[in-house]
Amino acid sequence: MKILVLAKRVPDTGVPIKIKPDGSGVDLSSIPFVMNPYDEYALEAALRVKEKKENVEVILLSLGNEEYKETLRHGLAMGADRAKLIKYEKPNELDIFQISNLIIEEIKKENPDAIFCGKKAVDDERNYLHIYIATKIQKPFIYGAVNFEVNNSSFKVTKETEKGLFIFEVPFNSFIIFDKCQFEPRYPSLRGIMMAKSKKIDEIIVSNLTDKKIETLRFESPPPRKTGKIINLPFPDNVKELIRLLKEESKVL
Amino acid sequence: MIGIFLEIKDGKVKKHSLELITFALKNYNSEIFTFALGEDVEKEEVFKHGADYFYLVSPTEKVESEEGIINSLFEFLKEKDLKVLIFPASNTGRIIAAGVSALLNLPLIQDIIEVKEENGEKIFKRPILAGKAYVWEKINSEKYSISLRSNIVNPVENPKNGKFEKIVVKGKDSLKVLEIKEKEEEEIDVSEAEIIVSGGRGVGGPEGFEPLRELAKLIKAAVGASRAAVDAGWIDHSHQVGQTGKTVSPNLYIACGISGALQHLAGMRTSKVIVAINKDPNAPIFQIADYGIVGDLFQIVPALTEEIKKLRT
Repeated sequence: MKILVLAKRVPDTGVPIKIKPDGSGVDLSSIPFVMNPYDEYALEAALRVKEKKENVEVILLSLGNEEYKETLRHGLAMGADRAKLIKYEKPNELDIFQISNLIIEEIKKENPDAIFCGKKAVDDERNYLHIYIATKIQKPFIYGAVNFEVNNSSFKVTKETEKGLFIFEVPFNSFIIFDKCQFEPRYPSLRGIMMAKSKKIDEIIVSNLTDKKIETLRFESPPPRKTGKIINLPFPDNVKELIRLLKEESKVL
Repeated sequence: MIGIFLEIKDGKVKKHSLELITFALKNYNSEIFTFALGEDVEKEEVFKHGADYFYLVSPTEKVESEEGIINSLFEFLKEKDLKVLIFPASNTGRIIAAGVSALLNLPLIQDIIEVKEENGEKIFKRPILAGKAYVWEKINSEKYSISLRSNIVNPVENPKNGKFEKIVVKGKDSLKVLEIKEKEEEEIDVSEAEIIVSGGRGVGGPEGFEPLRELAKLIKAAVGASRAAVDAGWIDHSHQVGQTGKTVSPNLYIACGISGALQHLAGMRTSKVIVAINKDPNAPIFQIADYGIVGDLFQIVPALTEEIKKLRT
């Protein structure tokens, strides 16, 4: 079985972000980057399949510049077999059509059974590329896996809905989109890190992509919130005052 | 014509979906073509808010999966000539938006929070990095789709004598449900709630969410949580607000025992009114709160519930 895992490189979520003064982009200098956390769950699930079954190949696919190799190496150190990088200098400037076309082309070349990825990239939050791709290549998909098991002939995928937990039988030939899972992604072992050095990262070079349907104009910082008031009254008057303010001043209760 | 996908729950069109009709009337000078998926619906609200057409798409077999819904809607939409499609940016709405747009080959921008005209063209604003920044984008295409966040516009009545029709389409699910573990009580989803009562490390354990749940039930709020509370296993991830959870903008956000880590603040800072209840007067949450109480949440929250109950009887 061949499992293709789509992985993105993103700024670490714990770090403050600044917009460049001219609004042309996010200032990413001196920000540490990591593998998109949701994609890490997808990779972990794929590695669990590999541990449970024979003849499973886990391939990482990413779209980005030279720096993305660091992220792919991290995935290889976790245990993926090989990686592919569609090389484009400014991946965040591409639109949905351009990205999905490039990725679909690689999917066709690799022809994997299953495709795994995270539910969203925590940076650009386009949050729908996977479904766009899954629908276009007509693979059955399931969005929001929170737990995952592999059986003899299918995957068992748990998904959270408004009504509760739904457990689905999902054929191997599917696109599974992972939420934060009930298991944790592994850390690369020392041996894994050593082995990753000799694993292959194929590069597919693309350039001059035109016909952009969605154009980025500018970035903005969120407006600052004005500091509010601390209700400095003894209990329970503070509670009564809070209710009064919510009812009369801000009219939200 | 502008197409709007309406979500139905318990036979009623959701408020978030009605907001889309008001949004479309405000921003597009065009007839409003609405559609929903289901068997039965109260249609009056839809025409009261200004729809010209309302189609209820009913699949031959019941579809549960998002993929099934997408295919059924595509069956219905493929022959229609709609210029713009608008979806609610809810959990399901976003998925449907992506699938339907892919099949119709439409560019799509999700999670829009503002639209304006610039040089005679519409430009759209959406949050990125879980609300740490915003981006403005424009679409170079006559036809496109967007999804719109909730609580961006207030639904306004604009009664019309619209046309209703039920359309039967082919329906099929490709995935088999093995088991359903239903929640005891159906919960309000944080991404759609108008009020959220949220708990963090300060709640101290799974049972610490009980007073929050009681308050939430009384004021019809969703229960939210910080990453610390979710990672500790006190509440499941569907409740998490912040960068690796959900970005929310309710009318009222009550943060209980949440210190206010950067990722959390990013996910809720666009709430209209923020209340912080925390023992630590130096907690960063107080810097963005409209009203703060320094104190023990286990004293304050139950008292809030009692006081509101008293006022309502």
